[in-house]
Amino acid sequence: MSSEIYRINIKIKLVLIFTLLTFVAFLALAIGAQKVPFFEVWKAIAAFDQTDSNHIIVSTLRVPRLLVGLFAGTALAIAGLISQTLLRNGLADPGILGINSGAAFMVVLSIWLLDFSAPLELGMASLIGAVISTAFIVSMGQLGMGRSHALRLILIGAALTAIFGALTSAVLQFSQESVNVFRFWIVGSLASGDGSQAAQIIYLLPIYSLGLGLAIFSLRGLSALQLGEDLAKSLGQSPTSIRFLALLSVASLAGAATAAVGPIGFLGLIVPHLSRVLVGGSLGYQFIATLLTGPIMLLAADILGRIILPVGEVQAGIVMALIGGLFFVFVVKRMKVVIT
Amino acid sequence: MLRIFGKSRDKLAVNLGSQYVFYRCKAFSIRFYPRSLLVGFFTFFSLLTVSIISLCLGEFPISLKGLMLLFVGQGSEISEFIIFQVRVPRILAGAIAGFCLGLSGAIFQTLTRNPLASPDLIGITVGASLGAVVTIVLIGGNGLQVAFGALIGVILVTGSIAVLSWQKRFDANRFVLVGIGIGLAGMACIDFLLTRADIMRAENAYLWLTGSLNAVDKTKLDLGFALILPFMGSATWLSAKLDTLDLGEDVAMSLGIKLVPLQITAVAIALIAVTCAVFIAGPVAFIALASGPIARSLIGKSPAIFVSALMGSFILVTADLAARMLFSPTEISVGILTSVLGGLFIIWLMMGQAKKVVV
Repeated sequence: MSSEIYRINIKIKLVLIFTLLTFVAFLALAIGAQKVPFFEVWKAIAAFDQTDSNHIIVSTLRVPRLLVGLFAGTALAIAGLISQTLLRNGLADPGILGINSGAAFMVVLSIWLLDFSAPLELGMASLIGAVISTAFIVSMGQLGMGRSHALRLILIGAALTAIFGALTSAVLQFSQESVNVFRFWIVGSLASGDGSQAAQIIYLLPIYSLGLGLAIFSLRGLSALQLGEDLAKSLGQSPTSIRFLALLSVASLAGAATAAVGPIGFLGLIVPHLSRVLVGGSLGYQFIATLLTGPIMLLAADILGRIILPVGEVQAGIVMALIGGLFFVFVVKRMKVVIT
Repeated sequence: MLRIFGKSRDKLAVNLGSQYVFYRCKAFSIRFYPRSLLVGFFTFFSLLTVSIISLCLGEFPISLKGLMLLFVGQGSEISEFIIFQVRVPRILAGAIAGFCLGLSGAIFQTLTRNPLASPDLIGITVGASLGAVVTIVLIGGNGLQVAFGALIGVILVTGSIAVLSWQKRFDANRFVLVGIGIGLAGMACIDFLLTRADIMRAENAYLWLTGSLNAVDKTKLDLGFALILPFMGSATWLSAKLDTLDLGEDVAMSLGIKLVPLQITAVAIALIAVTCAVFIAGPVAFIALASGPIARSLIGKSPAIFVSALMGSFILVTADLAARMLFSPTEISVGILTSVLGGLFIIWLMMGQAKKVVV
């Protein structure tokens, strides 16, 4: 009886979160340097008028931005959830573990060496970079006799971030023309000024769907794995293949997101924690909650970045980093025993 | 290490089996490690050798004979210019910066008892960079102003890390974790500032952020010279004191080591060293990380702060030489090379660590 109420409870919460998401999405369309009143936003969607300047702002600038936010928000949040579950580390996040930096480096490298410029090519490069980093992190995480050591894993992630960051700066030294493009991309921005980013997303959808699909597919296996390897095997799951699929899923999602918006960290850290606290329940419910909360967080960061400065805006990635850094510290403080 | 063995009335007691030499004279006793001294001398001579090679090689190669002529005062004008105005300052700056980096790395590694806890990774160097970037971009400062900015940045960031990681007592692991988080946030701030700067400053800043010895000027050398002797002195002193910490904090305290003042002093020295190094060469990656473990693997168990610092000098000067010559005639910055090497080093370290259970 109580488990039914429990489940209904969760479903109600999910619906509430979904409503919050729609509201935040609406805000994302309304707020900015040019404030568009809510009613106009609604009219822009329902009865688009080509001559109204407000409507044009909404459709050409804000809607693409919203779509990008939804895309990256879901991708990064789920990647964070899977990596935290897989590595059994509450501090895991594609940004902190260096996966995003690896993806970013591959993108910059491919632009410089191979002259990549099409979104599909960049997406592939990003994916490869993400796969390399993820493989490295997961293998290091496994070397601790099946348990990941919180501190060591994060340190390796920090080292990977540093290496890839330095290598990226190295590439920049050789191609000074790209510094101007690079410095706006590296901060993790949802807007590219002309809505072209949204168009790029279409090309990234294959990778994104692969990641999301694999994530959904691994959920059952990951829940089993949480009980321990032996128990998982007795339930008919193969730990190796679970890990492999989960790894691929994290890499795909992180790669797709980084290709779209540049490396944004901490989203994958915060959102799974939030969804666990707010909604709880089995991994499946957490997945849905994370899927919905991710974009809320990212869009909120983006909106905040738009209004916080009198002139100009702070990119979403920066806002996330600042909030995320504090959240990271908060989680560390709450960890009773810091496992080495 | 503390075994008081043998005939205590002896003035000089040697036990190479446990690796230390004990000299006693009335009330004083000095303990030093022959192996540590040996490695130290070896490193120093390697440093000298590499420096001389570095003086000779480059876009205008100068033979040893040419060098000698120069020192007697009979060299050509070109060689004089290149050697004294370009290469010597560069090598000296590299040695000093390397020393500072090795010093600070070894200090943090010893205090946190974690070979991966180097200032690069735990946000401290980021603090220096942030201070420097703020000074360059927002205030348009240069020279010593940047050094000052870097120092303030380091102090603020390390202070925040310390405050945020304090939970009834100092916990090394928590400090490291918080440092990583703050470091990431700090990098984001730097990236943000670079989007607001004009393109010329941004380009310079990105170049600076990799770490390079290309822009060594008089101010930097002066600061380095001013600080190097105190650094060397403190390195020796710290080597002795931190040695006992290896036994564990409680044992060290019962031996009369005042733990907290020692930790604070050590950290303060490390911070100033980081600022100095970053001011001279920018945030060169991984020297701080690698010098300590390499030195310690050559020596044995002692924290070997001084030798680690020397090792840092050696590595940086060698890396700079390699960076200049590897893709000749193009020169790449030292920081790029050290980053790549550092990456490989970490992989190697990790594979070694993987065989043990605890880091």
